[in-house]
Amino acid sequence: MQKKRATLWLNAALFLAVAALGYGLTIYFDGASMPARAETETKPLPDFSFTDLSGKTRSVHDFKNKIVIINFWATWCAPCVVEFPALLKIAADNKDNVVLIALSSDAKEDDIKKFLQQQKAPTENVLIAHDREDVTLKIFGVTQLPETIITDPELNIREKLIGAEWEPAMLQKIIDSL
Amino acid sequence: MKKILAVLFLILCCTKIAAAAEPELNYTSFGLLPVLHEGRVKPLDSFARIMLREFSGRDAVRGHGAAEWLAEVLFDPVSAAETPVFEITNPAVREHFDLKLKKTLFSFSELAPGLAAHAAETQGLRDANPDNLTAQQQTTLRLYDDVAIYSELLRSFSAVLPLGIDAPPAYGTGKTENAYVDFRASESKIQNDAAKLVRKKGADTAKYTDDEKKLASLAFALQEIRTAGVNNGTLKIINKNGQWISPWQSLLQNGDLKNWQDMAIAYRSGNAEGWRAAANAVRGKTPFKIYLEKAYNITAPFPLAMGFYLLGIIILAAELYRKSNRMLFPLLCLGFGLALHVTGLASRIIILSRPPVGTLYESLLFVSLICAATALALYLRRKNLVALFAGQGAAAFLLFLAPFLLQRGESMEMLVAVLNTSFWLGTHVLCITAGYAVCILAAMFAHAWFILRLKNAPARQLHLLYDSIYKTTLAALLLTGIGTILGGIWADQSWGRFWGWDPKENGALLIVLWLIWIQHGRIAARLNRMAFLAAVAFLNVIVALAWFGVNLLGIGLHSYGFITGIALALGFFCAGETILIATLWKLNAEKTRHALA
Amino acid sequence: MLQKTLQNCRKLALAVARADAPFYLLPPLMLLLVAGTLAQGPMGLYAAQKKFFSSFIFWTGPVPLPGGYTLIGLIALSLLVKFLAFSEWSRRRAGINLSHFGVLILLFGGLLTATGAKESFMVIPEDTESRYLYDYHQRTLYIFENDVLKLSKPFNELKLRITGVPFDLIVQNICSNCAIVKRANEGNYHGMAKFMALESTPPSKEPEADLPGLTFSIAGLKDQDGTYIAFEGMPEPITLYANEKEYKIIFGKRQSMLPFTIRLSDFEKEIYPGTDKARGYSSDIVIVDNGLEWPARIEMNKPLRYKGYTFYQSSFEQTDKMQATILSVVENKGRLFPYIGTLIITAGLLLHLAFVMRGRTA
Repeated sequence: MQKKRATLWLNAALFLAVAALGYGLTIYFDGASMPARAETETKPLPDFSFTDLSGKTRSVHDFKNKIVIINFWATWCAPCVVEFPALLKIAADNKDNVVLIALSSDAKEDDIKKFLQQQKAPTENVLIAHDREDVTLKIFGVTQLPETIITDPELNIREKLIGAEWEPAMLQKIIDSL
Repeated sequence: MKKILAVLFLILCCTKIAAAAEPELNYTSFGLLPVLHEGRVKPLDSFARIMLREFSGRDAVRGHGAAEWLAEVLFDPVSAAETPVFEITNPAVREHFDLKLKKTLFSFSELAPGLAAHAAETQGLRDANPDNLTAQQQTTLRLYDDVAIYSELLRSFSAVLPLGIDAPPAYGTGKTENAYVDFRASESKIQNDAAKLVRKKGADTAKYTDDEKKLASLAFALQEIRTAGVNNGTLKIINKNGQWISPWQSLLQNGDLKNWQDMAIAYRSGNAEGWRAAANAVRGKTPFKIYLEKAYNITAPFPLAMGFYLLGIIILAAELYRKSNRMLFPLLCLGFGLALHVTGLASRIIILSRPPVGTLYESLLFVSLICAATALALYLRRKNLVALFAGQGAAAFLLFLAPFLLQRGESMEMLVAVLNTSFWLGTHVLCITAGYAVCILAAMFAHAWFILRLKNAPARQLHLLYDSIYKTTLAALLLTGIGTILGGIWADQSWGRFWGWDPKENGALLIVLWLIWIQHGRIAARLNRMAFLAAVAFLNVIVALAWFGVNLLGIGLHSYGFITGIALALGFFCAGETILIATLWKLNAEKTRHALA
Repeated sequence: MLQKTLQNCRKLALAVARADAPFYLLPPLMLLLVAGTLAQGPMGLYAAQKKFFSSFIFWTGPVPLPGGYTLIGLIALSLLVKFLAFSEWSRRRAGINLSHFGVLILLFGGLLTATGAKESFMVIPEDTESRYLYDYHQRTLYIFENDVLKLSKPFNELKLRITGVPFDLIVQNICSNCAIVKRANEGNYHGMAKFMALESTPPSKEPEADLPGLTFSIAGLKDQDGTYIAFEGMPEPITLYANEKEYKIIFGKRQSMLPFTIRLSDFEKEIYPGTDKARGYSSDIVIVDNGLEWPARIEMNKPLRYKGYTFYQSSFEQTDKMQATILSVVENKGRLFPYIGTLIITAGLLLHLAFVMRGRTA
């Protein structure tokens, strides 16, 4: 009798375990399915120099060995404004390996400064610059704001996010994968 | 309609030039010429067999094989038009076309007048819904289609066959016999000169000089042949950089038909050496697959294998009758049969580059192989003589059935997209057809048990046989069960649903459920020993219904093997088997009753 | 008292789980299989499937008979009790137990599929994108008020009278697949109903080709009262005006949306050389999800799986001007269980067969 009772529990457990395993696997496959992306030719990031709001001029290739996120934005672009805090947060969360260059297409630098006063103080790895040479259009061909480019530590362009419809979790995943 | 007239013209044009009498030519090299037909490159030998079977329902005509017949069609169309090759078995159709009623095989020239007369009304048939046509109308349509293909074949090489016209000296080519190709360079000049002639002297040829008459008829002949040939793309026999085109298509692309012309000349003059050499020149290096297919055609491994199986059974029966134990010859027969069988299937795999069970015909070839092979295995393991009879008998019977399931001459078809290249499909079909084979074996064993018991076989033998049957049904369950589920997995990979209750799936499931049912019936003691065995014997019917019956329903995703007229045979088989099993069971039950009484 | 109840439970369990259960349950299931298969000729696959297999009871005239769900459900129950309560593990029974277990898993997956699976299709012309899924069989009536969806009623829930809008909509006739014929009779017909009538026809071979349609009449709107027809893909939806609002009535295949978009870059049909028999179809697509894009390829026998949806190359549409791919889209939470079940069943049967071949007949 005891043996029969034990078998009953064993078999019940077996059934539930396999059922749960199957179901769990299904859910896992459903969620984690980024399909194999075709090998897009990774383009190297063109070099350009920019001057941040503190006056320092730098060239983007100085940041080799860091993941560089270039965000093309402007204060008059509503979705850019919406995504800005999220970008700052991602940069803050990934202080050690990420550099965020926020390149603004504003006409006046004052507008940028006023806007920043309402934002959280950015971390050290965030560089906000005013795009005086119009690198945005001339070098990167960006016509619609916002656009975000993510490179790997070898400064190859790996991802391009067009628009503000991305989830922070997704961006984090991309950063983790590089 | 126009086509028929064009060919008739061609014939009239060449009436002087029928080929020399019966050449003793060898058709080996000719048969190995590759040609593209129905999506596959095959030897001309296969093509010839398919065409001949399509037109006449036979493999030879007037004592000549298919390759010989085709050579005549291509290089001596005048004679070929007189060769009876179209089979019309329906007397109403014969009458419709005013044909002599005494025979069933007619030549092109016998049919042409009747066909031309009824061409217009047939066009109306063509537009109608195929399901609404009577048998006679369907036969008529098919006849028209066949004749159209035949006339295209007749004209395939019209560019290189002699015109039978004397060229006026001004345009002579220096050869005694001229073909269209010989005038290719000067064709436009000839046409221009002929047009000038008509402008100068009018269209009435009575006013022409002899030379001018020749010019006119030459120009006219060239024109007619060219018009008839321009759209002729039936015989795709020339490989131009990987694309297969017909001789006329090649000519229009400025290809060189010299080798073909040599062949034509050699054929018509009975020059055996020249014929062979020209064919070799055209062939170049022949791929292994072509050789293999030709060998396959000539050997016909499956009827041979069937013969060996039958022979094996007969010798075995004879040995048992004489109460001797000499198994050498029966086993040799089985061995040869199996070797041929396996070679045949292997050849098909190589030629078609796919697993050997894509069509109904092929499934018969495979199931019979498993029957015979399992029989051998069981004999070697347990000296099971019943297995030898059952396995070889079933294999021979299935091989006998196989050709009836070929709708047309072509046994090596290319399959529709969904059936191609898939691991799951391959394993599913192999598994389930193996399952069919084992079910059939189990059923035959059960029949044997009943018969042996009536013949007072020793109890030990019956017991061993019963044991065999039990194990075989388990193996059958394994194969059919897994096979059915693999089918579901394939369906899931291809269409997105594991199970769709479609007829083929239901059929397979029926077999599995039947096997499960009889096992549990036995375990629950609801089926006594003989009821169990009768149920096993009934597997023959269940498998037949699942395998063939499903195709008759012609519905669902599995209707890629639609068979006509098998329904009756299937019905008889099922009814017959049911009566047989019931009788055997009853007789055995009575025997038990008498024994107990 | 408890002892007696336990004893009775045991007896009941035994009755359900013994080998007799399949012995009595399988023959009706086999008969059902045969009947349901033969019925597919006259009825069509989908209708026969619904009537015989995806039902608890079906009626032959006045007589109710158990349907697929009932029979399979009972078998599953028997198997479950058998496996839980009466399957001790020994060398002798290991194979059998595993086989039973495998079938249980298979049936469990079947349950998930039957209750949760969704099958629909997408039509995407080359160089366009879409996120709309269309149901093969479900039809829905949509009523928009000022271009906002006011109500949607599925086909089988369409009662004769629709309320909830400032007019009465009375359903006269619904056809899952309609043929458009010339209107023969006279009457108060509006719009296209004036010269067209809808007649029910048997389902077409390809379910995507079915044309669903509805004949209905409107009351309570004076001038606009009368009989109308609505069918899928009507060039203009039926538009009514009431209470200073505009109402559009659309009837067609049930739509749903993907949480992402698919764009078709190129559709290819490979044929066997020299014939027009298809060798394979493939669609080169781009998945557009949340700003990210990446290419993928869907071929016959090689589906794309993404976010719980599986996309299969089903068919295509071709006109002189354009090519469109037709993908069938399946959501099925039970899709892994057949694979798991197969492994277990194979292991079980092999084990049992090996055991039996060693000479010991069970």
